[in-house]
Amino acid sequence: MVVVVVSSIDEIAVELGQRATQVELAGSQLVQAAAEAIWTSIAADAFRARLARRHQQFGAVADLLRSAAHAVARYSSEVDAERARLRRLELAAEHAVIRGAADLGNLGGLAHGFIGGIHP
Amino acid sequence: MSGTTEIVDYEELARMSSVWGEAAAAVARIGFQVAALASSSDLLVNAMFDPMGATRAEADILRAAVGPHGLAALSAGLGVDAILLKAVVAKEQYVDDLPFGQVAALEQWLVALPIELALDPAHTLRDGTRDTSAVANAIVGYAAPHTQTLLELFAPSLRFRFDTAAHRPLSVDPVFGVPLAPLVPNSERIGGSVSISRYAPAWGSRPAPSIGSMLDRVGDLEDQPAASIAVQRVVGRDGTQRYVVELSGMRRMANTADPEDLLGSGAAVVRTTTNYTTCVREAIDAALVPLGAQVVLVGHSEGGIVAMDLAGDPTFNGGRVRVQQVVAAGSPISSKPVVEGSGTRVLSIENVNDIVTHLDAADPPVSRQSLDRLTYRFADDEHDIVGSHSVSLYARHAAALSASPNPLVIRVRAGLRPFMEGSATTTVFTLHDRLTP
Repeated sequence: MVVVVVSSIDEIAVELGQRATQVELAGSQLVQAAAEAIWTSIAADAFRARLARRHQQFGAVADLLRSAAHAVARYSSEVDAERARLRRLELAAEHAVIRGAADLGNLGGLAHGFIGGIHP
Repeated sequence: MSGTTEIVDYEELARMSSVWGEAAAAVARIGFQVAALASSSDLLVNAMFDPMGATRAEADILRAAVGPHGLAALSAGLGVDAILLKAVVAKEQYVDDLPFGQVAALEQWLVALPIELALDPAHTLRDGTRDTSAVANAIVGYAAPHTQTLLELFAPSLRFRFDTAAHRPLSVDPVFGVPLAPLVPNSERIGGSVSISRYAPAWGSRPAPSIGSMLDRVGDLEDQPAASIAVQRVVGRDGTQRYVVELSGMRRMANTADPEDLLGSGAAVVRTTTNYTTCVREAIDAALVPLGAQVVLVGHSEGGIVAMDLAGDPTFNGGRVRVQQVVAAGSPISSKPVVEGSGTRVLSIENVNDIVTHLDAADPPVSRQSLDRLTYRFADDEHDIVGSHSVSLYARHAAALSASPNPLVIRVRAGLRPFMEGSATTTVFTLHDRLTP
């Protein structure tokens, strides 16, 4: 059994989309296999009706996989947006700290000059 | 097969069951892989950024993988379908095909034995021999589909079992593992000649319109008093000359003065050069078939084996003529190759209840067939070795191929079309074991 290793959320969405295509293909192959069979009887008709239902199920499963892919993609976008927002906050905080430090430095210099000026 | 419109082909059901089983396994595999995605570390680690989104994504993935309408449910449904198809096949093979009639007759004989034996011992023993033979005859066809498995498991010769498992051509006997080719007497492999027959078949001036009618013609040749083959020249609408060579099968168990006896058939199974192949070469020369001409070889039983022996011989296929297609019916040819790169296509028609098709101890694959090597298998148990092997039965089943929606069969028919259209002349040849005087 091969377990697919994915390295980002977007890749999970892509992977799910690919699986949806694979499932649809598998469904088409079954329809093809049944169409190629030289088999006509009441049982054959019943089986082909069953196959038609199975084919619909393949489509439904593919839709579920695509829906999951969309949910993952949406989640990925949300995560990216949240990360960007946090990054902006982080940057703002960094700037504030840097600016604060610079202000403190300037204040220190002034204070030093002032103290130096009054000292004999 | 029953009626004119209803066809129940259990080999097709077995093939579909195999396809369904593979599909169920493939869907289950996808389901497992999708379920594994739900526990991906990327989804979990980033959940703190969007807990609701992560939950939704995971739920959707799990719904697709293991939900009530997801991959796991679909896989289970397909598995059930595969089992149902297998059950239908098993019912046919193990219950419907049971030789009830023959067994009941034998049972009746056994019950009446004490009284009948006292009244008319000779007649009773004759009846008993007949009923026992009928049961034995029917059981051969009943067990025929399992020949390869039985030989793989129980053949005393290790070499034979290895060859069978590896799908290698039959070369040793199943009991002692003695190489078979050297056992073929010279009288079956260094002779062979033909003479032109006076038989002028009614179909001689018309190309065969279908695969079924090609086999009917082989059957017509098998009905002739002497061992016969036919070379038909077909001049197509494009003016090209093409040839159809019809090869009849074994006619006698006892040794005869022609290659169509048990010894000749055995020789064809284990050797590629026999009296019969020499006869065909001579007939091709005598019919003035041009060098490199396009040829179709059609054969039943031994005729089909000989067709494959020739298609696998580069001095014939490519050296003398170009064999476009082999059509073999009731022939154990599963492990016989054609000349590599020759482009020769092989259509093998096999009745699984015909023990002859299993004599090479190699069954063709049920699925993954190709245009180059296509086997159409059907199950028609006549409860009689000869009946299940008869060319007329094969011709009847081959007739179903004319309407087959199978794309591979459609392409085989398309490839044969040039050999089925235009004007035709036919020469029938009588076969002899002796060399040309």
